[in-house]
Amino acid sequence: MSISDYLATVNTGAILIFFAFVALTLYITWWAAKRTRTTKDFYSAGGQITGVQNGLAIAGDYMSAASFLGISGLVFTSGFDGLLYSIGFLVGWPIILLLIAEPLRNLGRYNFSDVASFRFRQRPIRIMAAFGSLTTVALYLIAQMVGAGKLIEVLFHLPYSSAVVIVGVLMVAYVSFGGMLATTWVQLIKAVLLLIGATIVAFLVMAHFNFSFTGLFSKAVEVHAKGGGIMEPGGMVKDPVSAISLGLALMFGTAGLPHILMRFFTVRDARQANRSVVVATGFIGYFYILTFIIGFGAIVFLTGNPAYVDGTGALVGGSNMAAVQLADAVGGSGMMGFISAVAFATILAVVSGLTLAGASAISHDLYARVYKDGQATEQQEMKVSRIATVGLGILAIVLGLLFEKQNVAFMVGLAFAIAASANFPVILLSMYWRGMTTRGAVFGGTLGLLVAIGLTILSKTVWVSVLGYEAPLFPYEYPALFSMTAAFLGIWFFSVTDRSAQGEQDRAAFDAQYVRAQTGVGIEGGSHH
Amino acid sequence: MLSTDEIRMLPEYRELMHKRRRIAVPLCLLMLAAYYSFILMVAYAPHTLAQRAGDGVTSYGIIAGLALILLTFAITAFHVWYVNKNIAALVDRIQAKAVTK
Repeated sequence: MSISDYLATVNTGAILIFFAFVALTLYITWWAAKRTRTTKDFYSAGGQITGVQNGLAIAGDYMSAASFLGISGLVFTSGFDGLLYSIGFLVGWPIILLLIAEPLRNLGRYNFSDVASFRFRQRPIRIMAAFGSLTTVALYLIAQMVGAGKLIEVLFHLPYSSAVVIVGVLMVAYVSFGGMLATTWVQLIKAVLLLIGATIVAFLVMAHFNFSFTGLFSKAVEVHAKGGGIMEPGGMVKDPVSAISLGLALMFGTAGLPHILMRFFTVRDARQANRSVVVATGFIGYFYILTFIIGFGAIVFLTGNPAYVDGTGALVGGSNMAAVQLADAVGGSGMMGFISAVAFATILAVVSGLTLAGASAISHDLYARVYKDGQATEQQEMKVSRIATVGLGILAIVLGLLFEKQNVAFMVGLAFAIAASANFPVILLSMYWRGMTTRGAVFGGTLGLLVAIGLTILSKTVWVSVLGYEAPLFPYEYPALFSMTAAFLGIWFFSVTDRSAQGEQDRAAFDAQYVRAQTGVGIEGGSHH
Repeated sequence: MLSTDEIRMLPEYRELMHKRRRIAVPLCLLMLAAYYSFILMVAYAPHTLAQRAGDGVTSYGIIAGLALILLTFAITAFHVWYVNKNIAALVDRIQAKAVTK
């Protein structure tokens, strides 16, 4: 079709805003590239990010398209259940703040495997941590790429494959040229835009009800197919084991996501790290309240409206479009355009962060520490980082294209489960338990990883929905309760039975690590980590 | 530079450990208790959460959920306030002592 035909079918405002955003981000990338010379710049923005900026960037990572569109979509379909997910994603933050944030910043340099391997034998821990990181990143990336492709298809009427390629190319540009500095600022700006857009939409919804929540809820109950059912738990968690398992994955998975943990190293010291968490928690909490209002607003404004729902009552474009359609309903096509552009922006920002985390695992851990045994030069590590970024970009595009028709919803859940079961237990225990040894870390962490993956494959989400078998072999949808237990038990068991010399060394090194973790003595200018 | 053992002997260090434990443990337990009570109620007692508060249509579940969001932020804000007031100065003193000796 011709350009004018194309423009007639799609929201030109959205396209313009989107191009403006991309132009801005490319400018930022150019600006950041001039300031990105060393590995410290590339991975941690030279440690120059402030607590507030970092908090916004971290919040941005959390306010992904999946949470913005997915959660408001979930609230649209089930009401209360959407709140369950939101809360789950939020409650991990105090835990991070209380237990992990300061020690992490004090012990590590660029990513969490610096911390996990601090007192242990480098090679095996680095390999395991890198593997845990890459698995989490890959799963998350695939889910984001597929989501991005589908979203752009609906919003901008572009073919899925073009969408995936555009996302891949842009993210490689941001990361390989601008490193952490670029990705932080892209994430930050997107967070601000998203918060503004969501606030406006929520404001318009509430204004309609004279800012009365009761008014909003009453009307929603009236029009929704489930009636009062939206005010109470639906079928999302059916039994206590699933409830706890999901809760564990969401709460502790947060503390094990490599691209989130990486952001803790972009600030100057532990105090700024703490501030990041408070700022992030505040904005994320606020954001989830907004998505809740937006979900309910969608119920009120979209249900039964033939402009937005089809004959069966389903939303045009799927329930993920609830927020976007609502923007149109309360704010016209201008607002819808803005929200669509921002939704696309969120994907770009998140995949960039993920790619950087993956590149760090490949070049900082696997190449510089394992393959080169710590003897790599700055230039070599930088070069490998950039190659890794391009490689990951190509991989992301390929996987995005391959998984187009697959149901990838389980992948983010699995990413969180792995983060909670392989990364988090190793980080936590290495920080606080003297008795942990290299052997315990490797065996325990790997056990957590394998159990998480294994149980997910045997559960309904993969065994039945993807592989097509009759009944799942693992009866629960969320493996975290079991995989986390396996990881902690594994770490404990293989550490206490470890009588090797390396084990003795690991335990002996605990005190020095603990003092540094708690006081920050020795961080800048200390050991080249 | 002071050695690890020397730092551990500092009275400031002991005070630091004491204060950290005193704030981190209760807040952690509070967060875990609040969240998992909520989750277990969702699993075991969804009907209680479904009950309406007052005459309106808002359920206890929704109120509990929103309260939990606010609690989460409150815990983080309180912790950082406490640390800045009581702990940060200690850490600075330890760092200063560690490098001068």
